[in-house]
Amino acid sequence: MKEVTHINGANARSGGLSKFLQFTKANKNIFIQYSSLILVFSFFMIMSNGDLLSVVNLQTIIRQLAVLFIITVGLMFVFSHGNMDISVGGVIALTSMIVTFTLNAGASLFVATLVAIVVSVGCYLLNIFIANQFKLMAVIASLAIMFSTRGVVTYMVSTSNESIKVEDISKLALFSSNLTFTITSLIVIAIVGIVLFNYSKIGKQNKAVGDNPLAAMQSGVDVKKSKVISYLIAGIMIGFASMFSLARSYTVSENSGMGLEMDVIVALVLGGMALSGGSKSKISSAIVGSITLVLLNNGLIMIGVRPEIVSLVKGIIFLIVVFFILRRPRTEVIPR
Amino acid sequence: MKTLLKKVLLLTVISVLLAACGAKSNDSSEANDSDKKQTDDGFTIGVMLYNYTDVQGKEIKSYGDYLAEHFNVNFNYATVGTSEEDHIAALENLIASGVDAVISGYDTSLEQSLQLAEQAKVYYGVALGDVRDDVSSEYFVGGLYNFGEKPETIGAQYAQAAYEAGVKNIGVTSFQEFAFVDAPAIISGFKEKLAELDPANEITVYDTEYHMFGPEDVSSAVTKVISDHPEVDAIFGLGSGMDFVYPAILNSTKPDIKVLALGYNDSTPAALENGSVLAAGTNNYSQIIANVFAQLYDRLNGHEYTDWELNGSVDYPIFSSVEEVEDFQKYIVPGDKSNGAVTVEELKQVMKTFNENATWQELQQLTTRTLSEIKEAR
Amino acid sequence: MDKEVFLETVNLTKKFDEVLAVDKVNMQVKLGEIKGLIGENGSGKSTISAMISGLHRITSGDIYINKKKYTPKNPLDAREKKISMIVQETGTINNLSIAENVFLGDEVRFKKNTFVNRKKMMVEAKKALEAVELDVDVTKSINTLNFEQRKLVEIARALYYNPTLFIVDETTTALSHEGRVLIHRIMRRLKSENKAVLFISHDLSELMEICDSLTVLRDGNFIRDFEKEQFDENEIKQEMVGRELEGDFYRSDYDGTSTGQVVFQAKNVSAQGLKNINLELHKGEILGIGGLSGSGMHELGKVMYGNIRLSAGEVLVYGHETPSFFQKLWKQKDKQNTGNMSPEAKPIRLTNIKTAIANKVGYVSKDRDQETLILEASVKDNLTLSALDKLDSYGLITQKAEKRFAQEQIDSLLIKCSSMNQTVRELSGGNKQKISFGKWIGNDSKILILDSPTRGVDVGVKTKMYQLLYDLKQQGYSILLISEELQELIGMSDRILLMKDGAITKEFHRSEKVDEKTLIQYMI
Repeated sequence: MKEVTHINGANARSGGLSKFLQFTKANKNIFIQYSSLILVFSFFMIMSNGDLLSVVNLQTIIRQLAVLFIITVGLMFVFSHGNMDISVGGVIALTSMIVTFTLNAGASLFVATLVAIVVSVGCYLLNIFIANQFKLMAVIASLAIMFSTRGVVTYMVSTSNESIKVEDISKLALFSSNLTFTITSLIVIAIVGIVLFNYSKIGKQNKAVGDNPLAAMQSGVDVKKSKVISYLIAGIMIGFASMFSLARSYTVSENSGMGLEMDVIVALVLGGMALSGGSKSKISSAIVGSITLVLLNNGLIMIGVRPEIVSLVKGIIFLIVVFFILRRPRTEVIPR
Repeated sequence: MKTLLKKVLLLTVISVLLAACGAKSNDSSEANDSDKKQTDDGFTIGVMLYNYTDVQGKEIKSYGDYLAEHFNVNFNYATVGTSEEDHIAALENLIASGVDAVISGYDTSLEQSLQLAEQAKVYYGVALGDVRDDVSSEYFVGGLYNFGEKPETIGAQYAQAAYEAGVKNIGVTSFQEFAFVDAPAIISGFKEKLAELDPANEITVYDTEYHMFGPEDVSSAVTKVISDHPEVDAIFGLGSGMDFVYPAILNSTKPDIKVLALGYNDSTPAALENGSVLAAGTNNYSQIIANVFAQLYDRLNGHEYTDWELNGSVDYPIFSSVEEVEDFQKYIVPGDKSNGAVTVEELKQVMKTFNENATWQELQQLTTRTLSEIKEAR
Repeated sequence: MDKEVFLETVNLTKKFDEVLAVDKVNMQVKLGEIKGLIGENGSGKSTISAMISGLHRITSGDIYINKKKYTPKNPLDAREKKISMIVQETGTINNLSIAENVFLGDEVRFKKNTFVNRKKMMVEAKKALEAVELDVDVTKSINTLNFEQRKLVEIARALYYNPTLFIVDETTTALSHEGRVLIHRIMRRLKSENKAVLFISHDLSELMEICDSLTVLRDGNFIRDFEKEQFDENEIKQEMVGRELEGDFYRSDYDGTSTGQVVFQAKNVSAQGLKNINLELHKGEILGIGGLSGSGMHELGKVMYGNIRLSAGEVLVYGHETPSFFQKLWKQKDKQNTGNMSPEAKPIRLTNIKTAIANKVGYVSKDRDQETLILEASVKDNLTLSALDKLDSYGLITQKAEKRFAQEQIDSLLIKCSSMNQTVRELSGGNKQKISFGKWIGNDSKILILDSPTRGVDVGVKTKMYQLLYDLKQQGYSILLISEELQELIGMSDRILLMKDGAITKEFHRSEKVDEKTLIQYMI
């Protein structure tokens, strides 16, 4: 009993600092969650003398954010299953190409957007169908989709004499130059993502399946259906994102969407997501992570980091974030 | 507490986004301001390349550094991804960082890129290729024929080297036409020259084997040439001849096949010496950057050539002997660029900013000098 | 009392963050003696053994071995001091061979030059397994063994190093009757070889039978030592719980009658390992299913839940057709008007888990940690997972609804957790079990299939569990209680069905006359 009072006394004396430390400790998961964003943001803010937040640059960042943000939120549903997808770059390329053909055939923007969503959803449903049917890991199925979509686009590009591009670019103005639309889309998608992920059966079952499919199944979760739904959501979002992607360049080449699959993974890790999925997955990883990655790429050019050390700087930032995540407090299990 | 903090953060993000949206109208004035600011302490030119670690990237960067020493400019070297999206994003980032002009390696998303350049009043040039003549913009300084105005002459030079080496059965490998537009012209120049040198038709040139961009694609193309034509004794490699074709042949069942390589790397001198490579060549990166830079710099200072054309040209040096390689290293890719292909003094002579009488044609003459011409000028 | 003290703890203390798990415990383990360590969940008994075997660092206080100070940094230090331990959780690694599992972490032993000498390893593994009377092909994957056999592999591993102190932590709960007898024999053999044994269990009768002395812990504190001649069940229980135990351990009534209304039924069911099973569960009835672990009773539980496909027959649940999506919407609008249920309950064929849940059937697996709970998820998420449909209003599940739901279960079942956001993995066995009950009770499941519900929980919690089962019965819940513990079946069931080789061999009605011996006849 004496001991206890003594400890309390010591606590009271250290006062403010200990209160602060307690606050940090209590909220350390949140700090970790946002640590990469805070780190990247403050680093470039200082290095660029505040230019990072100039109006021009903010607009730039939002434009660049659109595609990555939307697909990362969409793929979050797939990744929270513990599944991995690397077909997104190929799917975006294929979707953009078919949308280009559709627009050039005289279809309206609305029809083109629907076509985009249908194509992308088709690719993703095929993805999960292959995985389910042949009992493959989803990442392997997505590898197949990646090669075939990329293959179709490369074939079309190499056999057509003209470059594949949107003839009437004014049709895509909504997606290319209307910043209000872009911001509204991002906010709506963020809200839809948060609601589906945190406040609906879909998201909750997703996380359960990611942790323990057997227990989820015995708790009444239809594991297969839950997977199909997550791919469906990813498909819809990615279809929508391809419209933004196409509106950036109006052209489709064999390189369209190249590297996006890796960007998504990097963004999620930067956002503090453990790629094994499960209940520790947070939709904020997608939101924070994609913003962080765009900021990072933007900031590196803004402050003109020498190209030889760009990779090094990225590596260090990555390392710090991963270090934080790996050291995420794993409360020691109290045995009985 | 947790949720509260989250909400606050989310709100901040959203309000920042909205603020940016609301302030959209101030856009152009902001851009002008940054223009003026830059003039005082020199211009900044952004450079966009896939990487700065291969010969191409290193040469371009070191020539850029040389220019920065002698002109009132800074270079901001940005590494870009291959996709359209990545290209646009990098250009936007450069513009946001306040560059006054951009040298892009590639014509990726050219129209959209020019649109961005115009909006930001930033001059734009394409360095590593010519551009189609259906684009135009007052902020565009054009592209470059990297293989000279007539790529056929390059093919002819390789044909000469092949003929002199006495090879009889020649296979050809190349990147596909959509990716390497000049390939057919180079190949046809090669064939024509051989026909001219060899009226008796003793030398056979097989149909071109096209391939994709990976080393494994090249390797399988080489294998296919060997299996289709077992008697082949030389391969004209247009798709990265030194980096891909040469190693592919060394690893094949017929490692004694001679190589005519479009390309250059550190193993070229040794390979030329032991005769496994008959001829090699590479772009003259100093000439390329000098050409684009001169035009951008003039435009930034308000000067414009009266005889300007969309696509300029540079020379493509080819070497088939050890001596020529040594000259190449000495006069075209030296560590000290003041001994290189284009010196600052030579360049200033053909720039409007420094010489009122300079013409675009003179600039082209300067940047199309061959190896021997450069050697003479030193 | 001339036995030599092998291990002694002095003021041994362990803190996890701010939680004091073990508080200044002094105890001795002597050679040639089996020492029992008993206490409720969270009393600190496993923490002590974990500190001795080097799994956890000591916060303060000391451990002495042969009067010399001993501060283990990892399990290898413990092995050096000839201390071996078997833990409650599975300590085998899937996809490795049995032999590799026996010598897990000690492959160096068979290193010849740079390679592991497989042959020698196999021979040694075989030898090690002989000590636990396990006759299997050691080159096969560990996955081919069942839970119990794996436990034996672990025991073999611990014994191979010829320990002077052998620590058994709650292991027997995982074992069948035969397994227990075997491990008891091993412990006695070690004792006769003048080795020390530290036996941690929640099963008081088992401890009283085996041990020479007992140490009782409560809330991390040392309470009292008992020598063999002082053993008294009630006294020990009181010391463990810290208060008088109210009433009986099991339900006290012998009223085995039920309403007679059949709510759940198996008709001529044959499936994986099951032959022509017929059973009827009535409303408000606890139906016990007993047998050996290979008798098919665990499979029967899964069959009744729709988790195993039938090859013949049918499982029927008496309920109401699942309303379609539109009917549900209509119902939600209509909610305040009337609470009327359609009067007639119809038999519905139960073919999958979905129909089971829709018809208010809940299932708690024997392998609770693997199949029923999501260990990485929070208490709240676990409780709500099977009730998402109930919490769903117009497609949304609000935090508020979830929290209310979870809090209700936490309060009514007295689940001990720091908050509803605590990860389930961090909870004790008893509290985990309460959560797996809670998720079904909360979802209004009126039919509960409970497979070995008291496995791995100690006496205090067990009492509460039995009380809970009885309360549920009183409230009209129907319970299918599958258990390997005959005492439990006799104590709790209205009727008992005994199984052998996949078929039901005998039915008993609740009566004072039923005892273990009679039951065993029909099981073996």
